[in-house]
Amino acid sequence: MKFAQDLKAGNVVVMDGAPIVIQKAEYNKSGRNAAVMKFKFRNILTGSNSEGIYKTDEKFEDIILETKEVTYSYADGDMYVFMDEEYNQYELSKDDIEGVLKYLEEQMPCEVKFFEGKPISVTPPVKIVREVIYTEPAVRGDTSGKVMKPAKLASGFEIPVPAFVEIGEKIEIDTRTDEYVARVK
Amino acid sequence: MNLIKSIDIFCAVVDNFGDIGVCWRLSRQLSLDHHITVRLFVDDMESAKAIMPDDRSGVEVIHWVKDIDYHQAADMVIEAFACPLPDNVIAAMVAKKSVWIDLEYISAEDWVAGCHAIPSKHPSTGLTKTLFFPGFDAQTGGIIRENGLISRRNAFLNDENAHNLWRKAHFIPEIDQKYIDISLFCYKTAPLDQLIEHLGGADKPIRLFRPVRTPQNTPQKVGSVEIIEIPFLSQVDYDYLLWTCDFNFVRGEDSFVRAQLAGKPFIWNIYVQEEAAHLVKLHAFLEKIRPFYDEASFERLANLHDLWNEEGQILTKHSWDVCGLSLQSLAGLKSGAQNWSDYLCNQIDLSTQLLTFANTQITKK
Repeated sequence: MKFAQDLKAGNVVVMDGAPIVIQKAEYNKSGRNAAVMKFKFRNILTGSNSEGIYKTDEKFEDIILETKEVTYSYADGDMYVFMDEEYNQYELSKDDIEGVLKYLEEQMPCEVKFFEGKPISVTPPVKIVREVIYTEPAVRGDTSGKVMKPAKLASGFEIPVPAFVEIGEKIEIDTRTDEYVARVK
Repeated sequence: MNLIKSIDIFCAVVDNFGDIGVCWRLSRQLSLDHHITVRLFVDDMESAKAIMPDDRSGVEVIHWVKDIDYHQAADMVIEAFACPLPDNVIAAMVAKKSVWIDLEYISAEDWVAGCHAIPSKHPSTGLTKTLFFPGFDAQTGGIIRENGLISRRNAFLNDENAHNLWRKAHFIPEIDQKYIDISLFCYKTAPLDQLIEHLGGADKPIRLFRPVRTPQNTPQKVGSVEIIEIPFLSQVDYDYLLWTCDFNFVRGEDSFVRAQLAGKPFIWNIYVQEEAAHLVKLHAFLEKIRPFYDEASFERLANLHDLWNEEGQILTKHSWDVCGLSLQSLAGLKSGAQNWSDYLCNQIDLSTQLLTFANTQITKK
C-alpha cells in the first residue's frame, strides 16, 4: 500500500479491481485544510480517463510493474519516443507522460513502466537540474529563502523559487513535489 | 426535487468552537431551511453545548463516542474537516451507498476551485467520496447563509430601538454616537495589548465588547478605550453583536464568515499554522476582497490584517496611524465591507450547493 502523497505520475494503482495509471499528480495544502493530492488517471484496460482528489494519507494498493531505464529521444507529433540501451524504441502518447512534459529534454534519463508488455508511463529522475530562463530581478539582501517568486523553465513550466534566484541560474528540482531544492553552481 | 432526505454530519472538535460552530450552523440550516433529517455526531458535547441553544431546531445531536453503534447510514454523510470516520460507519455507508462528503475549511486560494466537488472513487470502499470546499465564488462551495438572514439583518440595522433592546438583554450599553463600538474575538496569538494601547490614543472614545465565559462586571478603561466583557453568546445572538458594532475583530472560520455577511468592517485573526501557511491563505482572501474597496481603505485593511496576524509584529504608533481606525477610514472600510457582503449574498449558499451536488450523485447511482 502507498499513501496518496507518495504517488506520482507513472505509478499504477488498483481501483475497483482495475489497474489505473497516474498521469498527473499535484499536491495542494493551505492553512488548516487537509493536504490533498489531485490525480489525473487512466484506466489501463479501458483507456478511460478520470480524475480524483484525495487526502494525502489515503491509502492505495499499488502495482509493481516491469520497468526499463531509457532516455528521451524525440517527439513525433503527439507521440514521444524513448530508447533503451539496446536501441529499442518505446512510444508513449502526450497523455501518458503529461506529468513529465514540463521537465522533458533530449537525452533525459527516465524509467518506462510496462503493463503486459505495453509501455504505459514514464517516471523522471527524482532530482533534476534546470536553468531559469525568466524570473523577476533578485531581491538584494534577502537570502532567507522564505520569500518566493515564480521562475520560468525552458519548457514554459513555472516553479516557485526563493527571491534571490536570478535568470540564467541552474536550480535543482524535486520532481515528486515540483519544488525548488537548491541553486546549482 | 430533493432526493436527499437524511444527512449525518460528523465533527471532531480539535480546539475552540470553530469546527463545531460551522457544523452546528450547517446542521441547523439543513434542518430548518431544507427540512432534512439531520444527525450531528460530535465528540465533545461540552463545546457543542456552549454554542447551541436548548432548542436544537430538529437536529439530533449525538455524542460521538469510540465504537459508537451506527447501523443505518444517512443518504448523505459529511465528515467535517477531514475527521476520520470509524470503519463501522464506513461499512454502513457502503451498505446504504451514501453520498460521502469531506467538508473542508474555507479558503480563497486559487487551487481550491480546481479541487472542489470532484467526485473521486475511494480506493478501498468503492464509494465515491468528494472533497467540498466552501469559498467565495461560483467555482467553490459558497458559504453558509440561512434563508432570511439578510432581511433580518437589514431590519435590525434600520431600527435603533431594536439595537438597544437587544443590547439591554445582553448587558451591552445602548448606542451612543460619541463612541465607536467594536466587538473583539481573537486568538491568544493576536497582539491584543498593543491594539488596546493604541486604540487608547484614538481621537474618539471606543467601547470594546468582548464575549467571555465569565464576564467581569466592571469595565476596564485604557485611555479612551472602555473594555466591556459580555457573556458568551449563542450563534444567533453573535450575529446581532456583529451587526450592532461599527467594527468587528473575528477569528477562525464561523465568526469570520458571519462578519462578512454582517456588512461591517472587520479584521480576521486566522488560525496559526506551521510554516506560516495561514498567511498565504490570509493574503489570498485579502486579494479576493480588494476590488470591493477603494485603494486607500484596502491598503489600511490589508496592513492591519498583517499586523494582527504576523506573530511578533509590533503595532507601533506609526503603523496604527497608517492603518488606523479613525472615523475617516471607517467610512471607506464600511463601504467596502458592504460591497463585499452584497457580492456574497448573490452567491449560492453552501447548504444549497451541497444538496444540489448530492442530488446529482444520487441520480447517477
